[in-house]
Amino acid sequence: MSQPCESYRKMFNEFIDQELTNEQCQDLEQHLSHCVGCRKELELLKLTCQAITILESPSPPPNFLGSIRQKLAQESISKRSGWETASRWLITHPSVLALSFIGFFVFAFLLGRFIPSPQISIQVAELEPVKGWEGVRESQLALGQAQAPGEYFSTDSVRSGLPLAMVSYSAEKAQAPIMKSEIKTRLILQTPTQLIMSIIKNDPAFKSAQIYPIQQGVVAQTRQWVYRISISDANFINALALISEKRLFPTSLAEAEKLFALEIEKLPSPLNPVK
Amino acid sequence: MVALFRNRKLAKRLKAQVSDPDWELIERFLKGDEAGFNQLVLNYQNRVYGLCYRIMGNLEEAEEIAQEVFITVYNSLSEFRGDSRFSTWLYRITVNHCKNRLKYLGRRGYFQSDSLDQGLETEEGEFSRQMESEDFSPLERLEQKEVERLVQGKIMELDEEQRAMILLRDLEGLSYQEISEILGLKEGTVKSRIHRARLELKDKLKKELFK
Repeated sequence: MSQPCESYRKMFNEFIDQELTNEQCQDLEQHLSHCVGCRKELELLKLTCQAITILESPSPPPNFLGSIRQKLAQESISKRSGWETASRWLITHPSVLALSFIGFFVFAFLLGRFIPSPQISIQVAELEPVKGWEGVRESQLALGQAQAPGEYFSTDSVRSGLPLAMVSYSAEKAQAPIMKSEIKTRLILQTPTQLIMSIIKNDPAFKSAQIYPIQQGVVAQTRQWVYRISISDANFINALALISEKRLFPTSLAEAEKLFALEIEKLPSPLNPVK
Repeated sequence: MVALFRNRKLAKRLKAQVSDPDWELIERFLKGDEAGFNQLVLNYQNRVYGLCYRIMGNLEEAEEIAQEVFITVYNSLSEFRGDSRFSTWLYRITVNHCKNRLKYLGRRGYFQSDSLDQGLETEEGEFSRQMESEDFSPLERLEQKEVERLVQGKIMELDEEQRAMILLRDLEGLSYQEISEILGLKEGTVKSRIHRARLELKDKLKKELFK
């Protein structure tokens, strides 16, 4: 194939598409008149295009429109009754329902495990020395005669006449958790109050107690009893030494009482309905 | 500037709508007259079905896809804004459905066997061998049906894009500009690819058909 032939053959497609200018057309025809090879090639290309053009498209099957309309009708039915279908499916497949229930509980369980919740249910009140608390005796409590000298009253103390002047709730303090697992390694025991609080947090008897700090310890109120737990400064220092040197930490209040020489006063709780 | 652009776009759309012979039917359908849609199906079913058949090379596939095409049209005709002619839009949906189906079937090894043999297998299994052994000019001697089978087989050997293009051009007789709109390609690209496809097809057919 000579060089001119190649350039002419590039024009074949446009010739077939009738996109050549008159000049180009004449030029090409001129060449074709004396080049057999190009004439044959062009003929073949024309035949190829023709072969496609004359392809007879098969007719669609009878009632093509009908089958489309039928499909559309089915589609709209299934769209409309999506809920119905879903509920019917759930009824016929009860295991799916059961599994989704189980899945929900497993999910909730894992959620509870991995999202740390505040560890203490104990409410911690501001530390404020109570004037007049020391003088309160069991008889007075029972009679409801004790007078609160302070400004703040918890609802319980108002009801019972119990002087809990130091009760001014601090949300921040209530949030500060001491995790049980950390107690041995990361105790904050700078005051007697903190020491006693960490002891009773370990004691299941004080699980739902309300705890109020006082000067040398805490007042803890359970449903049955009000405890006034304190430790003298000398005993507090001994206790710290015991903890840090011997790695001893009591698991209950009774144990701590012996170990650290705690002073414990136990009064019947005014919340206790049983006289 | 934006307004001008918008106006021009709107003007183009309005012009397209006015010049589109199908716009009346579309409007009827959009106003709730189902007969408008039915008429569109009747007007275009042959072309859509035929194109599907030629791209897929299989009657059942063609029927399935053509039905899906018209269902798509039914569901999304409200989104058709008349930026192009309805037929262009319809061809685009058809080609896309075919391509998706081919991709799906290709993943399942549907086209592993030689497509030419597939095309010729049915009645005259001996056909292709005969062609090679005897020396004759087949175009005159062969039945139209047989030529069609052979051509279809060779078309199936082209890649799907080329196949769609050459069919849109030489079977459907569309302009390059329209094909470029359907396929979302530049007109020059479409033109050169179709030219290449024709030459390729010519060489394939030359070996068997034009001796």
